[in-house]
Amino acid sequence: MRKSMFITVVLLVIASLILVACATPAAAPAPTSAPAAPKAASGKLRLGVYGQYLQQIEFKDIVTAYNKQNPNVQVEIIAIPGEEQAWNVIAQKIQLEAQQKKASWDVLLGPTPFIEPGALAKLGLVDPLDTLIPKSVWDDVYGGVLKEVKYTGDGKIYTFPWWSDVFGLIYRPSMLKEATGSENPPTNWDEILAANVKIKSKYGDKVYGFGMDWNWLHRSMLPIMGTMTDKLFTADGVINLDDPAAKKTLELMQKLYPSLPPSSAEALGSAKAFQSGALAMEIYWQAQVLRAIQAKQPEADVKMVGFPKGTRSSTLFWTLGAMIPKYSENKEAAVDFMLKGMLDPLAVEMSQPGNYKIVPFKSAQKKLQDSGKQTPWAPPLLALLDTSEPIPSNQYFLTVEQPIYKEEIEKMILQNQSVDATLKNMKERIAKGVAEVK
Amino acid sequence: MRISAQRPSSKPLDLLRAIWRGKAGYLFILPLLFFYTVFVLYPSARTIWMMFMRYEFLRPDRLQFIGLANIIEWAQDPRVWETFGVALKFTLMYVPASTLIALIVAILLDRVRRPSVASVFRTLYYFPVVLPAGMLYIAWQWIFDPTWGPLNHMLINVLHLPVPWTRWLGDPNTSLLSLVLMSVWRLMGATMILFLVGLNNIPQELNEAARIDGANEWQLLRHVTLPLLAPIFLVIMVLRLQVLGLIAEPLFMTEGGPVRSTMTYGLQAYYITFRDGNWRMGYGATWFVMLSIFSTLVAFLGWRWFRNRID
Repeated sequence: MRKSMFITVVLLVIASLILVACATPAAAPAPTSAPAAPKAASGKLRLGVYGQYLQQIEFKDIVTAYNKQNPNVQVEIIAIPGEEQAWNVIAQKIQLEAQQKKASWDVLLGPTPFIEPGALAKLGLVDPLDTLIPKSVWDDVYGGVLKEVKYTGDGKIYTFPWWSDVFGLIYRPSMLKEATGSENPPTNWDEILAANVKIKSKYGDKVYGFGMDWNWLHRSMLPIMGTMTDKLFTADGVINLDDPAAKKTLELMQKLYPSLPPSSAEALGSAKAFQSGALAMEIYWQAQVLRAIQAKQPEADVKMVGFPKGTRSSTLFWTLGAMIPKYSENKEAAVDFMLKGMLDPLAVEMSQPGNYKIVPFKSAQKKLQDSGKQTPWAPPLLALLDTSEPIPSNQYFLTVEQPIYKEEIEKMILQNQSVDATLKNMKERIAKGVAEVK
Repeated sequence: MRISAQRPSSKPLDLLRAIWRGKAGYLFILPLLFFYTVFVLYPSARTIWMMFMRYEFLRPDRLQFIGLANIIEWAQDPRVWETFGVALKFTLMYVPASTLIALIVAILLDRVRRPSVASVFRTLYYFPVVLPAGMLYIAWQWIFDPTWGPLNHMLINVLHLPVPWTRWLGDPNTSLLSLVLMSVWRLMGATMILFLVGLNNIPQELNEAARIDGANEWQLLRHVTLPLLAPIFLVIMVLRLQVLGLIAEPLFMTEGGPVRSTMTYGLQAYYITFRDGNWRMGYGATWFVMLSIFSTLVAFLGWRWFRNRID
């Protein structure tokens, strides 16, 4: 019996191997050209939305508003149980479905240009939007955001921008007043360092001076470096470590570190400290103001201003948007929803003040301003949205650069690796990683 | 039901006859075999196939058969030993700690005479095992938070222990230990249940005979209980070998940091496969297959060693 069972198992293994051999590898199909411009949108539209946004936004209201403009499209909202951190799972799903020439979603809302579209555009699994969206709409987008949504590989646009997160300085006026005598926030890095000393002297370890998140380089090193150079990235879209600003940024991060809360080495450590009232200042995007208020910090005592200056004014931002999978079954309706649904006045008003988001269209901001609905923190952030450098949409920012930066900055801050060694390691490792990806 | 009592002949025809004679049995296990083939054998075979391919998810144009190149690269990759060391450290802290605590709790619970009370404690101790892992990770991130988490506060301000204010997950020296603490708490109940099963199977006559012979509680434990729990130790050892491929805890709690202090072998393999570069699935598969071979080998040797001890 043992032998026959063994033979049975062997036969099954062989059958499996034959199946494997017959199966085609998960190779992506070749990209095709963009379809013709939309005409009359109608039919069913499967709107895939990242679950995290469904928690924040009443999409049904947006769909209702859209259907008032176009009742011929039946929108089905499909929750996608993932977010940026599960982007690889979503990319795989789209890729595997594409092998069967189908897609679960006609339009996908939630991707950020430097995360999913970089990889999917390279695989030819999403459609370029350049010609699908009228030029007048693209002209209305803030300059920095327009640059952000272009995939660096071919210069085409794969993401329709919707809501931007922009970095600024979030602070607690009461704490600053107690410690420095003025509730006005610092405006540059020297003033921040000076304020940190006074906050430490006033509060000891009960309130920390400054917070930033170095787990993801785009939340600390990049925005700081942007205030010291206008050449943040190379022509290839790789962070420009040869610029002297790179070294100055690392040195500044070292100086800032003693004022950071002890949880700053953990994911969202500084953000949580700010929400718990243990932090006086933090560089972060505007949603943090909302989160702090939701965490019961007094609304009048949580303020946001533009990003601190270095040798120049700059900020960093990213924009969640929508993209159309290559095998979307209703691209006309997808484009129609982007233009009418996502930019419906109701959807724009949901961004501010309700969700502390920025719709990166000039006309939308003008309308908010005219109607008195624009929040006080928006103008200083918008002022930089036209000129600041975006995170490039490519396939190596997230998969090569970010993990290396995190490790090297941790070595520098937690294990006293010198700035020079940190910079050298970063350069060598990133050059190697980018070459492999290319 | 008699599947095959006689020694099968080497002739293929006889083998087929033997299978035919046991067809009812094979029919009964067919559904299981089907699912086993679809969900275990096929994926395993595909993983092995990938090991010999240059298979990069984001560069499908590069797909090609590369023979042993992935295995050679794996053998020369310094990350293998580095991350295996982290996984081994985790295993050496976690397995003895969780086993010892679970054993003590199981022995104590076994002594509880009122079944209802024992049942309440069993449920309480087992409860973390069935809780959603994601929820526990968030809870423990909060517990470990050095700025406002309760652990430091409890140790220093409430218990007045002479320990320093610790960064736990944010310090390369304590991050792995933090994961061990959480894992011991979370999975201790599963080990405890195994021990309770083992304790339940020990005939009471043996304990009584030992007591009549004058054995005290310690001698009873040392010379009766523990030797008879040896099969359970074997099961636990084999089951716990899975922590060598630990992924979820460091992925969600620390992302392998800080400074790679919690970068386990499994997490590194996961990153190679699903995060870094072009998602080198072929090379990532090599990492996982090699770990499977190692784990199987250790399990086999452990089984041999235990079997000899049990005999």
